[in-house]
Amino acid sequence: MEVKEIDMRGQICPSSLLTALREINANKTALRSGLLMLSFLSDNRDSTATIPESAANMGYGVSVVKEDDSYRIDVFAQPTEMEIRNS
Amino acid sequence: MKAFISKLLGDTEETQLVSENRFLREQQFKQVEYIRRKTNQLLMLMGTLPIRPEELDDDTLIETDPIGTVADAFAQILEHEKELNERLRMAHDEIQAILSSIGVGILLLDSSMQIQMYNQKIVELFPLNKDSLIGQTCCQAVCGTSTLPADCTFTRIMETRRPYHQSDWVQSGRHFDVAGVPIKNRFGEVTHVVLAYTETTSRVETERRLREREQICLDVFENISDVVQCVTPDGSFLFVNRAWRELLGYLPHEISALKFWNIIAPECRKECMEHFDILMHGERLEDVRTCLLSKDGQEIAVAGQINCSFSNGKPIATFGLFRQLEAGHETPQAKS
Repeated sequence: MEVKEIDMRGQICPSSLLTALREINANKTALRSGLLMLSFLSDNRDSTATIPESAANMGYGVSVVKEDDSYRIDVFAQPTEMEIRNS
Repeated sequence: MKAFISKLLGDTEETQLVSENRFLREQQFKQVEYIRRKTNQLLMLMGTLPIRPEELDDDTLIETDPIGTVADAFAQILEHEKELNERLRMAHDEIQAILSSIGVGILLLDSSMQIQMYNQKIVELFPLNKDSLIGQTCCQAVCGTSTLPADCTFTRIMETRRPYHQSDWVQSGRHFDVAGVPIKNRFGEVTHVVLAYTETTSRVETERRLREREQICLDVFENISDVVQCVTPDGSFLFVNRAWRELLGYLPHEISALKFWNIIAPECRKECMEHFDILMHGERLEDVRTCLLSKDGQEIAVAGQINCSFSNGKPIATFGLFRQLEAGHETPQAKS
């Protein structure tokens, strides 16, 4: 799976959310098919709530990890119904 | 005069240009305001803060098209909701099929005890009117009363917020196994309760009849003159009758401390253990002769038959029925 990193450090919400949404919209097909994962770097704490919530509402899986001076918000394809049942 | 006219015309053109510029600025201001207002409205729906002017100036606002971005995001949300609804519908159908296929009556109650959902089996178990069942309280529909019964499973679950199992709930002479589970919201409040009813009337009735027959059997064995004993595979006594106790001189409370070999005369123990092994393999022994040992050490010659009962291939207990041999009869020692 390809990982595309987007450095948003310095941006605050809602600008960071708009940037994240723009990237998610632009990479919708690759994201949905599981070929791509978007990895957003942000130092804005609000973004760790707004981006995951919006991405989850759009049907994506999200994980947030605290790194040294920022947060890494990964957005990726959610497992399919069949994968969930088989897991 | 000519200069005056020209000045007048120039002024008019300049004024017109100024007026047009003002109009265009006002239009652009309105457009930017509209974009900000609509973007903020959508962002608020997304659960975030409005855009501050210092974050995005007017030119960048128009250039970045935030309405388009949020609209595309909403399109994905709607697509996802559509998929989610389809999956929920399928899950609902699956649950309905499961609920209909099981032999347990199920009620889904809200926190005010009103029936929200039920399966076919509950209508078969209780005389319920399907047309008016939804919205009725469980108390009215199932118990047929407007007051809460003392042993109400729903009340117990609402009080403890924990699952509850009532193994023998009796309603109109019928017996039920009632299992209840609370459904909680994210604040831990009970929003719904699921009650599952299994009728156990025939099982309870069968158990009662079995107990009655068991008691009759025990009475018969207790009162016959032959010696009766039931011995478990570890040699403990499961049952001995009155004739046995009188013959060997033991009191009822002493039986539990005894083992089978304690009441066999020493010279007969080896043979008895061989008999015991044969019985454990499922064979029945007829005309067994042995010597029992009474509490005061007296040897008593007896003859009888023994068999062993099994459950799932495992021995449960041996059942021996003996009579005392009168003097002159051949005992095992005499044989040897």
